[in-house]
Amino acid sequence: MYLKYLTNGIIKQNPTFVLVLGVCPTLAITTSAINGVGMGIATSFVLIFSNFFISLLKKLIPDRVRIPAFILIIATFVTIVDLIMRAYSPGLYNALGIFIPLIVVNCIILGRAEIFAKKNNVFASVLDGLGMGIGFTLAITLIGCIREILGNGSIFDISFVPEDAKTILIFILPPAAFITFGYLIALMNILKKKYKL
Amino acid sequence: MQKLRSTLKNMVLSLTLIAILMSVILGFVYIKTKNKIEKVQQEKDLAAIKFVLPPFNNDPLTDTLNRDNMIFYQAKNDESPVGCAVKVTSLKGYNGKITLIIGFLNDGTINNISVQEHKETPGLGANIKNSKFINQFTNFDLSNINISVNKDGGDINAITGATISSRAFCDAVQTAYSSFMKNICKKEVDNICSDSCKITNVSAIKSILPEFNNNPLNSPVIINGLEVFCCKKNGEIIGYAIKSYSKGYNSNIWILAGFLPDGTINKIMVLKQEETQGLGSELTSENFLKQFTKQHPDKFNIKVKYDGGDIDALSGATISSRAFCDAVQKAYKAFKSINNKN
Repeated sequence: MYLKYLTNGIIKQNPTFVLVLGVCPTLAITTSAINGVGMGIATSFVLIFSNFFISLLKKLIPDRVRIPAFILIIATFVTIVDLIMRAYSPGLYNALGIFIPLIVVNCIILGRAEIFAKKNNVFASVLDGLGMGIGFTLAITLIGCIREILGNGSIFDISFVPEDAKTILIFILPPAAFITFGYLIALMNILKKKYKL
Repeated sequence: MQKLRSTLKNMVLSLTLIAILMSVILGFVYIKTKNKIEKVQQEKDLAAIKFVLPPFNNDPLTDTLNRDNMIFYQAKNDESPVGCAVKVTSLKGYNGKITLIIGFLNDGTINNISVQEHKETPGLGANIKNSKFINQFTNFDLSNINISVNKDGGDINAITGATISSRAFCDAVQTAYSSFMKNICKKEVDNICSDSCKITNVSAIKSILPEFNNNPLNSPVIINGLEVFCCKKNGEIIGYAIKSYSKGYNSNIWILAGFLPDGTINKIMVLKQEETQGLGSELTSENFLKQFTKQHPDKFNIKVKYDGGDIDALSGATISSRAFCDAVQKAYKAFKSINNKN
């Protein structure tokens, strides 16, 4: 029963490929695999804690002020991620830079708060946050890998072509983010149909 | 417990409570990470300073000078200075700020450059971090070159597809270099102002250029460390007189070269030289100087024949002749950059 909450976010309701939420960071930061992992982990962290607090406080939050209350909670955890990253992972912080504060407006987080956390208990909400986080991380890491391999000739910063090799530069530029994203959604739809996921 | 109803009192209380709770959590994390964040930033600076300078054993983070809104970190080895690292930012990048830490040796050459912060396009502008690009700035005398991209008439090969990023990088290096030369390494400025060959009389310029009627001494410009005098007749530029120098056999040879607007050398005179009497001192002879007269530096090779050029060296004074050619070339480079700007 609880396992379903966890796996839900990974394939069946993958936030990136199925729900198509949080597209801004998906397109913007997936220029390399490591960026995808970093952004995924940061978002997962925020997602888990915001789901936790929102489901914990759901009875205390009157319906008409729920959005400001949710945003307040989400913004707090985004700032915490920002501070922790700056202190313990300055390299990643440099790479993700301005996208960390933007996690606040990532629809996945507000979406899960609205759809799931405000209706379910704490444990289920944390599992849902974790599952969605994993799903998001896997998805953007995959996009990051594809773009980095084709665009930069490397994966996780390990280069497998000589320094002056000609790579398909467009893959690290914004247009190819859309191209890659589109093909992956199509692929996901085919797979879902075929295996009835 | 029943869910709270949306009355004004409930809404205010609820939001206040959540705000207080979140502030407490945030404050706690802030205090816990504050010192660590500062330390990380300092470590990052120190690592960059170590990367751009030869080994030192003091703490440059505490030995700083503030000049022209830039911080100069002075590195010393047993109290003798080994160089100076400058943190400099250009706002002209493609996506905003580019911050560099540049390591200058005592004589003004750049030892190495570390890119601290940038948001340039990956694969294009982000290549300013590549050693291939950075090596264009390092380990030689920058007073000889024009620190701007070749599209702007400079000597730096811009990264393909990233002219703006390369330009911003050059801008940062130029800012740091000028400030370093002005504030830390005063040698260059002393050279320009050395009284022994200061041009105080317009007659020197008159002797190497066609007739003009402004006073070029009023407005010398300094390009690549050389003084350039612009000569005009009735408001129209008729040529430039450029004061240049190069290290000769004994000391610096100072020349004044007259360029016509199209780049042709009109005439060159020697302002000051201390070469060996009867050998190097023959630089001042009419026979040697006339080799340059009315020649265009793009059409003949200003090098002594021994080096594959077109100039007959003075016999027994190859080094002096070579220095002379070098000075002429420096002057021509300065001419090209001023000509490109106009």
